[in-house]
Amino acid sequence: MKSNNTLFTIEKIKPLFSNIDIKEQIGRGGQKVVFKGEHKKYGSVALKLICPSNKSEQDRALRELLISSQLDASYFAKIYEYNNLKLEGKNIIYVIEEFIVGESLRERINKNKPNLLPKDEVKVIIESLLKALILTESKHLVHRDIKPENIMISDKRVVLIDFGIARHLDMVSLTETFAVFGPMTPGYAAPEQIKNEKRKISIRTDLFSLGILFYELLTGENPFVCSTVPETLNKTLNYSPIPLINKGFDHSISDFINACLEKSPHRRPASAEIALKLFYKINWEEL
Amino acid sequence: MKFLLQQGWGMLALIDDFLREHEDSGVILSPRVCDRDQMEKYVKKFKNHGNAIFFDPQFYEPRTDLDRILSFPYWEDYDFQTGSFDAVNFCKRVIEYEIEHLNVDAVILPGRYTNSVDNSWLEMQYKIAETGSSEVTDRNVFTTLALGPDVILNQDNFDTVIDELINYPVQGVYFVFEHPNKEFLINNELFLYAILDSTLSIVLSGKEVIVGYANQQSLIFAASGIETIASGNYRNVRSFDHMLFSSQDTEGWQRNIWYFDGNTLGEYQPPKLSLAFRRGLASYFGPSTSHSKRLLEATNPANVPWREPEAFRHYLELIKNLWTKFEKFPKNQRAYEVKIFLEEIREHNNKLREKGFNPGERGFYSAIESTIDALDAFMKDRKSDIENL
Repeated sequence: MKSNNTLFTIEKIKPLFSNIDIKEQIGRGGQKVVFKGEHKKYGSVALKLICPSNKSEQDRALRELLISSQLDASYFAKIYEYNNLKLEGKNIIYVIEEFIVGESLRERINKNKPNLLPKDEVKVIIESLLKALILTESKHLVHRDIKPENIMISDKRVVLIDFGIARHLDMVSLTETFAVFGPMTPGYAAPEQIKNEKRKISIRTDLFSLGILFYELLTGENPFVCSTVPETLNKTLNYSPIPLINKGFDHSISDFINACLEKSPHRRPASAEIALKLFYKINWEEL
Repeated sequence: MKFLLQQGWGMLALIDDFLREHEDSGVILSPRVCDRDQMEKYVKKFKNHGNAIFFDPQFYEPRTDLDRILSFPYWEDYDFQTGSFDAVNFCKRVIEYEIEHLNVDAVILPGRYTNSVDNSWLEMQYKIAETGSSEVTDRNVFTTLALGPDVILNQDNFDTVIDELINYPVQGVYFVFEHPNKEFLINNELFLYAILDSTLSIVLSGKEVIVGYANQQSLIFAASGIETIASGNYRNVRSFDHMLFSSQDTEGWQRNIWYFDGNTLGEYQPPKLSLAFRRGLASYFGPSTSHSKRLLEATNPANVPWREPEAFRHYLELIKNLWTKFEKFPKNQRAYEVKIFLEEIREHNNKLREKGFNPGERGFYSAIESTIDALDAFMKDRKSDIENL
């Protein structure tokens, strides 16, 4: 099988996208390569090229893209176009989406170290993500990979990126390494993702990841990440983080995070909307 | 809130009368106790009263040899033994029967009873729910959840069931569960807590829950946002026993007549009431219904001709009243109202005990503490979820 390194070169791709001045490759992972470019109509765009491994994966990707493209809000990168095309006899999917100018939340956290992000900023980030999740839930979508790397902080915008199969495919290498597990990022994945319990996956899976992210933003540490992946997974499955109330935080914030981090999805907030209601009860003055 | 009749032996006339009097009620029909022809004939009558009709397909024991259950058409040419059982096709046939022949208000899907959860059971449950969702588009669909006490008391197992169930593509869950040690009133706080905890999650996931085979202790489920319970005449339709669906009912038929008391939630035989009344304790019992008025107003209840039909009608009317009285409170306040109600029940029971009244084998006295303990723990642990009801 031809590697994506040789399949997705700028020289080979340029003739396929005459409307885009492809500038540089900005990302690569699993079966996906991302380029930055200038589109004649849309301006700065991210061009994603995905190489599905079979027909059903391709169909699923297109189905999810159809739904994702309907997520029309500032919390998401706008999808302008997507479709199939053939490249050297292989079926590939291309996605042209809005290029988000800014930095990832991970970059932002690292830049600010050793300090934590200001609480007002944390508040905006979590509130925006919950609002984004309300919209994704309404479309029956589950992101499954909420983590600082997939959150872009742009001018006055918090953008949740990498929806749909693109994200799944991105994580294929991880899935192959840990074949018994589902697609996920250790340290942010919910127990049902780690155990690959597909029938349990729902918006509550994303709320678990959001709980971890919130914990990390407030304390500067991910409560589950260890030095090795198996340890991280084990900790996620079997360990409850120290409640924030024991770290001097107000009970309202501790309750919110505890609810999101329930091991069993049915005890987490039942919807993103309910989670947002709970979030609004947080006493920020006590932080 | 809704109260449904759970069809038991010899209940057709009672159902007919009850539904006529209570248009807001309905019935869950049972193939175990009713011939197909008779059922289809009566359904038309019940429908005319404007009541809700449900049909429990009673797939609890797929290897059942009960002729009456097997006489319903969806079992034709069906073989669970060979390992080639086609759950999807079976489910389609159940749905077809419920809609075409009974015109049910909502479809209850077949569900197998289990006392130990494994992947094949989980897969079958999901497959049946998916089939129901794709086949039925003009009315609500309920998944049957039929569980034994070992599953419910094992947190990992029970959580797995509920974690999956909340994502099923159905509108409701018909929940029947066998009590620990087959005790009629549950004395196990953990068990009661687990039912409250799980049903709250199901309700919060946007699904309606019907608790089948309910009895007076089931009134506490108003606390977790449940809107509908179903109860019947004999005790075997007031607590679930999966064995009743695999072979002939071997329960000893005790024809003793009982009076159900709404103030204490206990059941007493008239001679016991007579002794209490003679000792000046009559005012502790009640409230009366049109069926029990004569009994409660008598100086000596044992002398009143109090027969099974009156006892059943009184029980069903009173349990319906007790259940639906929570309706006037917002859903997220009902747990507190249930708590107040149970404390009153405790007080009545304690006062009667203090006065030397022995509640006997069917008294609620022995179950009240575990019931309140379970409710207290549930209200504390799921406080913010209860607020979201």
